[in-house]
Amino acid sequence: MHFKQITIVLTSCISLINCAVHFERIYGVAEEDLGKYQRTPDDLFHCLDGNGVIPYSALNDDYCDCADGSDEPGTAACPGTKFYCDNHGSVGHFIPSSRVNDGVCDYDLCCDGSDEYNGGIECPDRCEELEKLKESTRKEEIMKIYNAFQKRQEMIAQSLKNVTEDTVTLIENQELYNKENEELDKIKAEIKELEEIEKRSKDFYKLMYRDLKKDYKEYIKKFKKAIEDMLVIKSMEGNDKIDSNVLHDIVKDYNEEILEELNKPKIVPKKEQEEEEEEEESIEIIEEEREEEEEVNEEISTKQIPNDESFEFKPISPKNIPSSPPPKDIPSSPPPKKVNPLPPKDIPSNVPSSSPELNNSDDEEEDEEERLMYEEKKEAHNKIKDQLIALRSKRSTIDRTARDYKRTIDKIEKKLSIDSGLNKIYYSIYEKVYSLKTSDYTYTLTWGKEIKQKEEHGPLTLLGKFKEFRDNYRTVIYDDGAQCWNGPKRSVTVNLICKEQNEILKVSEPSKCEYVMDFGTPGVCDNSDIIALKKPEDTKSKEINPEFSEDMLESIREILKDSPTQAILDEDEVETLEAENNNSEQNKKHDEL
Amino acid sequence: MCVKSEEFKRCDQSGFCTRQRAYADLVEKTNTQNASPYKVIPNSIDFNKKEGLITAKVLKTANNTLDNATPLEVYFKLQLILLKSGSVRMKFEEAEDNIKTRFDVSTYALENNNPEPSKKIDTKNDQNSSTFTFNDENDKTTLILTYNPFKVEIVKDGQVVIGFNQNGYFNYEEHQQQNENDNISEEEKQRQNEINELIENTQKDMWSETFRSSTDTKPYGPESIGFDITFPGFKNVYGIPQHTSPLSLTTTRNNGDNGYNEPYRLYNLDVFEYILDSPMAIYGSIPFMLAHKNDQSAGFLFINASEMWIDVEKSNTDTLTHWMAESGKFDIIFFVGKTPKDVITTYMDIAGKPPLPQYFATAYHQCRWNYNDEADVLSVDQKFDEYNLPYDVIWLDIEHTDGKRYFTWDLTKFPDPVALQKAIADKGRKMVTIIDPHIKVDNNYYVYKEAKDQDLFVHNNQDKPFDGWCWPGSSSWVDFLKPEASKWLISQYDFEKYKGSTEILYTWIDMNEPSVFSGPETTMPKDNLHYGKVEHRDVHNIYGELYHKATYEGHLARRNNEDRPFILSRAFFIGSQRYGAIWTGDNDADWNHLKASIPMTLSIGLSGLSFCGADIGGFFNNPDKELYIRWYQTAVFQPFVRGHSHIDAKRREPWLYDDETINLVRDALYERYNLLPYWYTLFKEASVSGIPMTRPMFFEFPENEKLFEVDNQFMVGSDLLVKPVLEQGQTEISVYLPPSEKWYDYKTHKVVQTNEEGYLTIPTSLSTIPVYQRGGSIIPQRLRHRRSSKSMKHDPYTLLIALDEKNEAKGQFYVDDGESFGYKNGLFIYRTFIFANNILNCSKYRSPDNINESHNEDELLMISERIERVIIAGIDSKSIKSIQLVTNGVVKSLQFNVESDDIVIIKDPAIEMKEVDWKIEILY
Repeated sequence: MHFKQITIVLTSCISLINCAVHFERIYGVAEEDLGKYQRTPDDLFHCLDGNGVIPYSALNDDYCDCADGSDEPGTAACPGTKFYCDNHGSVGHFIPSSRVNDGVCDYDLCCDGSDEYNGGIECPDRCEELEKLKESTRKEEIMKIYNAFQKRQEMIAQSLKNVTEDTVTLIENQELYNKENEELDKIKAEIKELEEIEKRSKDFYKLMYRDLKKDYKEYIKKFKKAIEDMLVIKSMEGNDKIDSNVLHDIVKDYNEEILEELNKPKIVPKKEQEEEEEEEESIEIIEEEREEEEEVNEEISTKQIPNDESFEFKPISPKNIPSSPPPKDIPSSPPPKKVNPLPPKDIPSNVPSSSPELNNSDDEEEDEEERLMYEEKKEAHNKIKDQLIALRSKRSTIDRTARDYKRTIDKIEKKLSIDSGLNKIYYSIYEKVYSLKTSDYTYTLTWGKEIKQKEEHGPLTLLGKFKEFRDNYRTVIYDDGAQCWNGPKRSVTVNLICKEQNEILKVSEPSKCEYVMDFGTPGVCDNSDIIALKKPEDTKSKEINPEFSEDMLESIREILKDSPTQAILDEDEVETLEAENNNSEQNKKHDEL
Repeated sequence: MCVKSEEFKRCDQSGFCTRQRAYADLVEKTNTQNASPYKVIPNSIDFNKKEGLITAKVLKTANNTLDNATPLEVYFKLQLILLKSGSVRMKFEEAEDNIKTRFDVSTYALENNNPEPSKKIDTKNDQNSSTFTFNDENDKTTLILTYNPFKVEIVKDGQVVIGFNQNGYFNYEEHQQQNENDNISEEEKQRQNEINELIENTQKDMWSETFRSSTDTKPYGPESIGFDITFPGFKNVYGIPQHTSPLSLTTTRNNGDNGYNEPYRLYNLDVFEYILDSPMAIYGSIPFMLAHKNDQSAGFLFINASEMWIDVEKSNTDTLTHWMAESGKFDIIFFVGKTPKDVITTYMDIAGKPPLPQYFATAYHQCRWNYNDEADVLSVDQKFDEYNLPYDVIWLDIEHTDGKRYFTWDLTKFPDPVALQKAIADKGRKMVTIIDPHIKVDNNYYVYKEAKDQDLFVHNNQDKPFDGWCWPGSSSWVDFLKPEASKWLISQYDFEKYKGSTEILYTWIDMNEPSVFSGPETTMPKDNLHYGKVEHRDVHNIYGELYHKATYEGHLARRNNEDRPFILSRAFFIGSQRYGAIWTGDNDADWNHLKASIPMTLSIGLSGLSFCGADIGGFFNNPDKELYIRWYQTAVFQPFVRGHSHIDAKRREPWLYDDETINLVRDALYERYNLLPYWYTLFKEASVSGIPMTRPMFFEFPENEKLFEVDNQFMVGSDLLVKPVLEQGQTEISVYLPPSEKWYDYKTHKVVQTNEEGYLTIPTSLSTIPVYQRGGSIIPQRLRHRRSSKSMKHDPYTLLIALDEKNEAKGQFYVDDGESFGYKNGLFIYRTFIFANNILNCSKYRSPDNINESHNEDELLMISERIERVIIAGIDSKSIKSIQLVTNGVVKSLQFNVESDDIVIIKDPAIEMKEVDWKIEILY
C-alpha cells in the first residue's frame, strides 16, 4: 500500500487530567511541544526556526517544506528530524524520523507501533504488554542494582580498610627499616675502623713476609751457583778432585734445606679463613711471588747433572715453596726428572777450588728472631680478623632484615600508587584472580596486573599487562601482551559493567589480537545505573554525576523499604538525590578547606 | 606486499605457450605470413543457405616449417555460421580424431548456443576466395574466406574489421601419436641457428611438463590451438579479463607500453596478494575482446575453457592479437557493430545476460573475515542503526562454520542461526554465508559422506577421488561436470538440508578457481579427471562458473523459483553473469588498488559481467581515514558495493574512525541509496541488453578519441559521469566533460563551465565526490534516508531533470517488487519520461524483452509509489507563470519553488508511478 494522506490532527487532549490547555493533537509531536504547532488565525504554520511560513495544511503532508524540517514531525519527509511516539501507558520517546514507515516496528522506543502507519507493516500497540514485562523485571533489576551498590559500598569499605592497614604496615615497616638502617650505619662505622687497623697490621705483616722471602731467595741463588760451579768442575776432563759423593752430599744438603724451609710456618693465612676482599689482595701478592719463584725453580731444575752418577735432584715445585697455599686447582708436582749429562765443554781455567759457603750461623739466629716476631704479629692480626668476621656477619643479618622491610615498603607503595579507581575502590581486589572458561579458552584476569589466555592443552598466552583506566573509569586497558603472528602485540580493553559481583562476563576478539572483556563489578556502578532504572519519562536525561555517595544508597534503601512495589526512582527523587549528592560534595570540599 | 611471481608460470614455462609463441616468431623470422600450411580445399565448400552454414575441408601440409622426413598431411573440418546479428561463428576441428574428443565448453558457457542464422546471404566465389554478404541492406556484413593461405576476414563498409590468420599464426596441434624418434639429435642441435631454436621451441614440452615440483602428465600430448586475430585500423582493444592492467590493453611483446613481455594469461588462479599493472592471470577468465575506433566496433570471443595466453601487439594503425589455448575446441565468434554497445548486445545475446538481481543486492553489503559470533553480528547491526548508516546485508566468512565444514555452523559461536537471521530480517536486512567448493575429508561430515558415497568428486590422474589441501585441511572437490553432482549440490540448499538457513540467507562462493593450496600454481593438477574422462585442463576456467551455476540453481530450487538468488563468486568465465555477482578478490588497502578497481571493474563489465565490485578499503591491511573515505566515495558508484577486510586487519566499521569519517561514509552511502531507483533501472537495462551499468567513457562517447584510453573516470548509465578522487592529499581535480554535452553538477544542479577543451578543474575537500549529470537526462531518485533499501520500499520518488541545449531531456524508470520473478508476468512498472517543449511526458517504456506490463491496477499498486518532487535544472525558471499536472484530462495546479534562475522544484505532483500518459506543463 502506498502513502495515504491521513488525518492526523486530533481535536481532543489525550489526558484530560494533565492537560491544562486544549491543543490540537499533531502526529509525531510531543505533548509539551504541541504549543508550537498551533494553527495561526490566518491558517499558517511558522517553521520553528523562524525561516518560512507555510499553509497549515502543509503540516505533515509528507513533503518537506521547512528548511529545518519542522513541518513534518509525523512523517519521514524531512531529513534529520525526530518523531515522537506517544507510547500511551508507557513512556513517550523520540525516534529518528527516518524510522517512520520504514517497515520496521521499532518497539524498543516505540512500543505503541505509531511509527508504522502506511500499511507497509502492521505494528500493533504493545505498550501495555511491554510495560508489564518491564514492571515484572524492574523490581528484580532494582534489587540487583541495590545489591550492586551495597557491594560497591563494601568494596569501598574493604578498600579503605586495606589502604589503612597497608598504610599502617607501611609506616611500621618504614620505622623498622629506618631503625635497622641506623644500626647498619653503626656497624658499618665499626667495620670501617677495624678495617683500618687490620690494614695496618697486614701491611706490616706483608713487609715481614717479604723480608723473609728475600733472604730465602738469596740463599737459593747462592746454593744454585755452588752446584753449578761444581758441575762445571766435575765435567772437566781428568778432573777427579771433586768426588761424586761430595757432590751428592751437597745436593742432599740442599734438599734437606728445602725440606726445612717447607716445614716452616706458613706466612700467609689459609684461604678459608680469609674474607673475600683480603683474599683477593693476598692472592695478588702470592701470584707475584710465585712467578719469581718459578723462575728460580726452573733455572735449577733445568740444570743438568751427569747421569752416570745418577743422583736425584729434587726439583722445587711451586707446591714446595714456602709461600702461599697453592691454588686448589694446580695439579700435583711433576715426577722428579732424570738429569742428562752435559756434553763435554771447554772448562774455564779459573775454576773455583772450593765449594761455596752454604750457610751462615749469624743469619740463622736473626731469622729465628724474625720468625718469632712474625708469629706474634700473626696472632694479633688473626684476632682482628676474627672480630671483623663477626662484625661483617652481623652486618649482613641486619642488611637482610632491612631489605625485607624495604621489599614490603616497595610493594605497598606500588600498590598504593597504582591507579585503583575513584575512591581507590578496586584496591581491595588488587592482584585478585578472576577466570572465565569459554569453549576454546580460559581467560584469567589478575586485577591491576595482567590478563592471560589458556587454550586447553595449549600454551598460556599473555594478552596484556595493566596500563590504565580510561573513559572516566569505565574501561581499563591492558596492553603490551604477547606479539601476534602477522599482527600487533595483544591487548585487552576491559569494559566495566555495574554488577553485583566481580566477575568476567564475556571475552571477545573483534579484531585479531585485540580483545574486549566485559567485567562485571560493583565498582563501576554510579548514578547512571539508577537513572537507567527509573521509569523513563523521556530521554532528555539529566547530566549524570559519576560520583556516588552513601546518601544515594540510603535513598535507594528507603525507596525499597517504603514501597517495595513502587521501587522506582522518579525524576524528582533522582533530582533530590543529585542535589544531596552535590551538597554533600560541597560540604566535603568545605570541610577540606 | 607482493605476489610470489615465481609460483606462477611465465609463457616460457608453459609448453604450449612457448610452442605457439615460437611458431609465431618463426613466421615473422621467415616472413611466411602468407605461407600458412593450412589450405581450404575449394571444391569441398558447401553452403547451406537456410542455416547460414558454410562447411569446407582444410588440408594442413606440414613441411614448410618442421624439418620432418615425411611431410604430414592432415584434414580438418571448417564451419562458418553467418548469424542474423551480423556476427560470424567459426569452428575448426580434426576431420578424424581417434585420440581424444575435444571438450566443447559452449553448451555450458553460452546461454544461446544456436543463435539465429542470417537469412539474407549473397555469395560470390573467385579462384582463391568465397565472399558472403549477409544481413539487411542497411547493415551489411561481408565475410571473405580465402583458400590459400587459409584466412577469414570480416568486412564492414568496405573495410576489413577483423581478420583471422591474416598474419599466418594459425597453428592447430592435431592429436597425434607420440613418436619416439621425434627428437632432434644432439649434434644437429649444436649447428642450429636462431630459427632452429624456435623450431625446437615449437616442440617443447609436448608430452609432459614440469613446473616447480609438479608434473603434468599430458597423456594426450600436444593439442594446443594458436592463431592470430587482427583488427586492422583499430588502435584500442579491451576486455579479456581478469587482469590488473589498464582498460585499454597494452602491447605484450618487446617491452610493450607498460614494459610487458608476457602475454595476457587467462587461467583462473587464487593469487595471494596479486600485483597491479600486470598481465598475470588471477581469479577469472573471459576470452572476449572488444576493439573500438571512432566509427566502428568489433568483438571477438574464443569459446574455450583451457589455459590461454594472448599476445597483443599494437602498431600506430592496427592491433594484432595472438591467441593460444592449451586444448579444447576451436570455436570462435566474430562480432561487428557500429558502437561498443552494439557489439556487447550481440555478444550478450549469445553468452547470456545477467538476471535482474534482488533490490537489496544493489545496496550496501557489510562483510568481514570474520564477524565472530551472534553477539558480534547483532552489535554491528545495531551500530549501523545507532550511527544512522544504511546497510542491507551482513556477511559471514569461513569462521562461522564448524571447522570449515560448509553448510554447518560453529554452534558455540552461532548457537541459534535461525533466531539470528530472524533478528536481521526484522530490520529488513539479509545475511550471506560463505560456501566454498572444497569439501573436508571427514566421514563424520554428512556433506563429504554423501558426495563420496555417490562418487561426486573430481578424480586424480589415477582415476581415484582427488585429495588436496585447502582451508579445512585435506579436502575433495565436487565435480560439477557430473550431472548428479550439480543436482546433489542444488539439493544441499533445501532449508531442511542446510540447517540454520532461512529465506533471508544468501550465498558467497569463494576459492572456486579452484584454489588448491597443495596444487600446482595453487590450483588443481591439469591431468585430474572429471566426469566422462574429461581432463581438468579442458574445463579449468569454467569450473568456478559451473559451481556458481549449481549454487544459483540451488537457491532457485529452495524457494521453488519464487525468489531471485543472490550468489557472489570469485572465479568466473564466459556466461558467469547469468548466476550473480563477482568481486575483484583479495585487494589491498592501498591507493593504487583503489585506482585499479576502476579499470578492473570496467574490463570485467564490458566482457559481460557487469555486476562486480572491489572490496571497500582493501582486503589486506588497514586503510587510513582518507583512503577509507575515498574508497567508499568511489565504490558507491560501482555495481557491487561491499566493505570487507582480512582477519589480520583491524576492525574498520565506520564508527571506529572519527566523526568526520562516519559522516562522510554516511554521505557516500546515501549517494548510493538515493540513486537506487536509477541503479535498479540500469540493472534492468543490463538484464535486457547486457550493457553494463557502469561503462567506460567511450561506451557513451564512441566518437570521442580522447576518451578511448580513459580509465580513471567512468559513466554510471548514460547520464552520470563519475571522476573519483584517487590521490592521497589531492586538493584539486581535473575532470574531462565531453564538450558534446551540457553538464550539471549532480549535487547543486548548476550548469558547469569547462574550458574550451572540455576540462573542468575543481578544488577537492575530503567531502568532494565529483559527479556530473549529463544535460538531457532524467534520473529517478529517492531522497529519504533510511536504514536499508527495504525500508525505502514505500518512499516517494524525486525526478531530477537536467535539460540539454535544446531544453529537452529523457530518462527511464523501472521498478518491481525487488524480490520475486513476478516481473516475468508483467508485475513491473517501466516508464519513459520525456521533457520537451516545456512539458514533461510520462509513458510506458516498451522494453526489448517484450514482456507486457500487467493491467492489474491493484497488483501494480503494490509496487507503485508517488512522485513527490520534480527538480528541473537548466530551465528558464524566472518567468514561469504556473505549472500544472494533466491526468486523463483533469488539470491540477502544482506548487513550485524557483530555486535559482535556472532551477525550479515542483512540489509533490503526487502522481503514482503506475500512472501513465500524464504530463506536467510549465506555463509561461
